[in-house]
Amino acid sequence: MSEDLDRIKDALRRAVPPMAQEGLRRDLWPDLARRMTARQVVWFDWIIGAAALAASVGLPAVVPMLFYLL
Amino acid sequence: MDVRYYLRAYLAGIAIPTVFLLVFVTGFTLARHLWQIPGPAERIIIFPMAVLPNLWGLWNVLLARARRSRPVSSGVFGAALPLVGAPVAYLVTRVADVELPMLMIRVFPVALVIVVAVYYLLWKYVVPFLNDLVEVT
Repeated sequence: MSEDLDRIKDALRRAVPPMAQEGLRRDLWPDLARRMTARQVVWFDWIIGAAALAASVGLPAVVPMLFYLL
Repeated sequence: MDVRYYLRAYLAGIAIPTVFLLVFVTGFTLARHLWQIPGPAERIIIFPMAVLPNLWGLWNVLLARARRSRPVSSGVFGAALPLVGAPVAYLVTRVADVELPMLMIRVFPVALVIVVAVYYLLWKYVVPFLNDLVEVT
């Protein structure tokens, strides 16, 4: 029984070569950190967006021009 | 490699005005057929349908090219696009012989400021997201 298991182990080791122990080619964390922080909207941009929205509501005549230029 | 890189930048650039075109045309069609609102949109629709997406695409190509040599704020870069687009839009109305309503001419300065603000936000947050998707830095 144990001889059979040993033969199976040997056969598996021969069939599946060990994986090469290669490290990462570069550090991936800076990219991930950049993407996480890049999505944050800064407070000043909230004000710009709110002001643009308020101006559009206050002056409905600008809405067709907005759509035309977008 | 460079051609593919700039082609990806172009495609990422045209995405936003292409989506907005759908909104514009849908709104115009509904307004025209449901409420019989008059307007010469057929004569000037060439601008949002063809000119504007190409402007956005080319602007993003310029941004991608500029960013390869030096850091450029995409928000500020995009905010400058209406300064090119608005004169072209006006030129299209002149060529198509469309008289703009006096109210629109009066509110144009305010509208331009709003457009610049909206462009700034879109180019700061949405365009970089699209550029990331197509791996344009």
